[in-house]
Amino acid sequence: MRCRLAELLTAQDLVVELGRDRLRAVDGVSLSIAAGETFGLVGESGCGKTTLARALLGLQGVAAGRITLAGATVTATGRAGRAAVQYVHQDPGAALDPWWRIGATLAEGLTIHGVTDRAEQQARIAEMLAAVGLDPALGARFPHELSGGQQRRIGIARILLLRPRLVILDEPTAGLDLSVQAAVLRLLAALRDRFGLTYLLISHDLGVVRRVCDRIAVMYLGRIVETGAAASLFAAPRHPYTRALLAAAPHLDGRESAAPPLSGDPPSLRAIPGGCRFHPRCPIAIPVCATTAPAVENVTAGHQVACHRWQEESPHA
Amino acid sequence: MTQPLLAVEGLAVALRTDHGLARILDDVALTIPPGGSLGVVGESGCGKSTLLRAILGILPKGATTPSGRIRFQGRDLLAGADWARGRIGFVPQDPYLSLNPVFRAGDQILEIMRRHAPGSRADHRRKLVELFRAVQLPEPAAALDKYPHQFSGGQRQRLLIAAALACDPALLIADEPTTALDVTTQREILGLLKRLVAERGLGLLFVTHDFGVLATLCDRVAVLYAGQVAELGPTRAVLDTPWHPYTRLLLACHPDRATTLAGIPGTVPAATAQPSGCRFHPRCPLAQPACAAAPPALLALGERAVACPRHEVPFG
Ligand SMILES: Nc1ncnc2c1ncn2[C@@H]1O[C@H](COP(=O)(O)OP(=O)(O)OP(=O)(O)O)[C@@H](O)[C@H]1O
Ligand SMILES: Nc1ncnc2c1ncn2[C@@H]1O[C@H](COP(=O)(O)OP(=O)(O)OP(=O)(O)O)[C@@H](O)[C@H]1O
Ligand code: SF4
Ligand SMILES: [Mg+2]
Ligand SMILES: [Mg+2]
Repeated sequence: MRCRLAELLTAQDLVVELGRDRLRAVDGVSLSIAAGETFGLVGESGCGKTTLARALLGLQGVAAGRITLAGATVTATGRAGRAAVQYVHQDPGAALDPWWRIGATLAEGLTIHGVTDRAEQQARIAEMLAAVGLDPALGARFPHELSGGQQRRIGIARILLLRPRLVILDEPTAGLDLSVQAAVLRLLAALRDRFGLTYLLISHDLGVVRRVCDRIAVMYLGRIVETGAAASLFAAPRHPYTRALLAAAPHLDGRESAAPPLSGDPPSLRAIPGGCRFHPRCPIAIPVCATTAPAVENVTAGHQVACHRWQEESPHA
Repeated sequence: MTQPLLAVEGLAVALRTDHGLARILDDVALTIPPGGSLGVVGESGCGKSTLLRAILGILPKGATTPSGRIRFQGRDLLAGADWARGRIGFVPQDPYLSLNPVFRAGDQILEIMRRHAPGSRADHRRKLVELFRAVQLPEPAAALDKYPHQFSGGQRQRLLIAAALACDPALLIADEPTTALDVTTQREILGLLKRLVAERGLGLLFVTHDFGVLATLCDRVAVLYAGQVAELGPTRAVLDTPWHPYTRLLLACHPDRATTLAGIPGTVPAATAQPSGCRFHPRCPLAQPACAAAPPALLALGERAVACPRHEVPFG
């Protein structure tokens, strides 16, 4: 495990409201990411991960809370000073201009960030394309001439070229085969060490998260329900949602997961359950869960959970 | 033998590019019986999406006319696939590019149903709400009236799964349809598809990189490499004892089996510069001079087939 370094990015009691009816997609999230670490964010589809990322990037206004970058508070609006934080989009097609050749899109990014020398641009682009396992000749193509996995790798290359301090990677390995996935993860680790990068990695792939993250936060319906070192969280998950998530991964041998699936309807932001937000689907809920929201408690110094019953259940999923 | 739902024989697809003719698919053959489920796996760029597009008749502009045969329910698809529109559901790989941002998601799907499914608009609405519920969208009735940007990435992916199932297709073709889903939601979706296969005899052609999903859902698997079938067989058998050196190396990357982030050395060749002989030979630990000389035939061995004469040789 890496030792705790200085905090690079923090969020305190962040609230984000979306749309005209001001749905609270992020509701009181606090987290702290140390310089040089890879911080994982996992959670149910629709729980607010991308919204949280957009708020941290300054692309989404916040209704309440505070964000600091390298110790300084960043204003809720405006992108000033945020070039240090970059985002690799969840939908690779959304990040590439369909009318521009790949090489032109990549060069444009460098130009905007002050690298205007053509030769240096070309050298950096060729090096980066090779690093993500792509033939530099692909730079001459248009986005629609690439396969899905090739587009995703271009999306990663585009951002890493800019050498930001913190990169938010939204599902960077989705749709990549295992071999390319391993290559991308190796690349991310190598760049982290070489340029001192910090990653916030959002992923549904628990195998990826487990292998590359130092710490992990688990999100459910707009809140973080558990945070801890990757090793302790996977070995002894405390929150019932975390346990359900770890138990649901399909196995290579095709056997069904022994744990029962989550019961109940998927939660809606329009009708957030009172008390613990997970209680209607929780297999171990007790009456107090429906009335009182559980506080965040320390399991150990580096492992926090928000559940009334975390002490009573065996921690092993 | 009963008539297969889908039969592909000797399919070849090429694209005209700035760098010459790219042979994306070459001599691909596969069949799916009614109620059968075939998974397609293979390294990024090996031609999986192109295979699906050829079957659906939606190849990109620069494509040459595909050669070979594609038959669906006994009828030719290559000459034109319009007649099969409502009977084949399709979940494309990129949900972002597949929904029109200026129309409500529900209206876009209802329009497809109006053209291809029997019943009134009210019937269609009712049915779609049921499907939205089945794919775990929160507040299924309200979801009908939302715009695509009001959904999360995984919710958009589930919208497209619902859209593909809306006309009660006989065959569902899906390109990585669960990549944006957490595993608990994914489990519900796989359960839904399994029920449709078992109860309605839905046929599945499913592209995935996730061997866990493959093992859960598909009874057979085709492993594609550089546009050709490297190996084909019952999923269980192929995952337990992969034969083709490429399949063996690919499976060794699985986190359940791998100890490092090693991956397979080298990359998939560009479709404009396919290696001679076996297309895998430049990366294969078992390659011999003969492998570079002539392409290996797909050997049928019982229920399985493999395109490598050295499939019984263990890695040294
Ligand atoms: N219009 C095009 N012009 C040139 N090459 C193309 C075009 N469309 C696809 N290709 C190339 O054809 C090959 C096969 O692409 P395809 O999208 O079928 O791959 P895939 O197996 O689906 O990959 P992935 O897993 O990354 O989605 C790729 O190498 C891709 O770059
Ligand atoms: N513009 C919007 N207006 C209203 N609701 C929205 C809007 N954008 C997102 N939502 C809702 O906010 C919630 C959080 O969305 P978000 O994209 O942050 O989820 P996510 O955790 O990234 O999910 P996924 O894993 O599926 O990508 C979802 O329920 C979504 O439907
Ligand atoms: S607080 Fe209660 S309902 Fe919430 S997770 Fe814990 S036991 Fe379940
Ligand atoms: Mg998201
Ligand atoms: Mg594809």
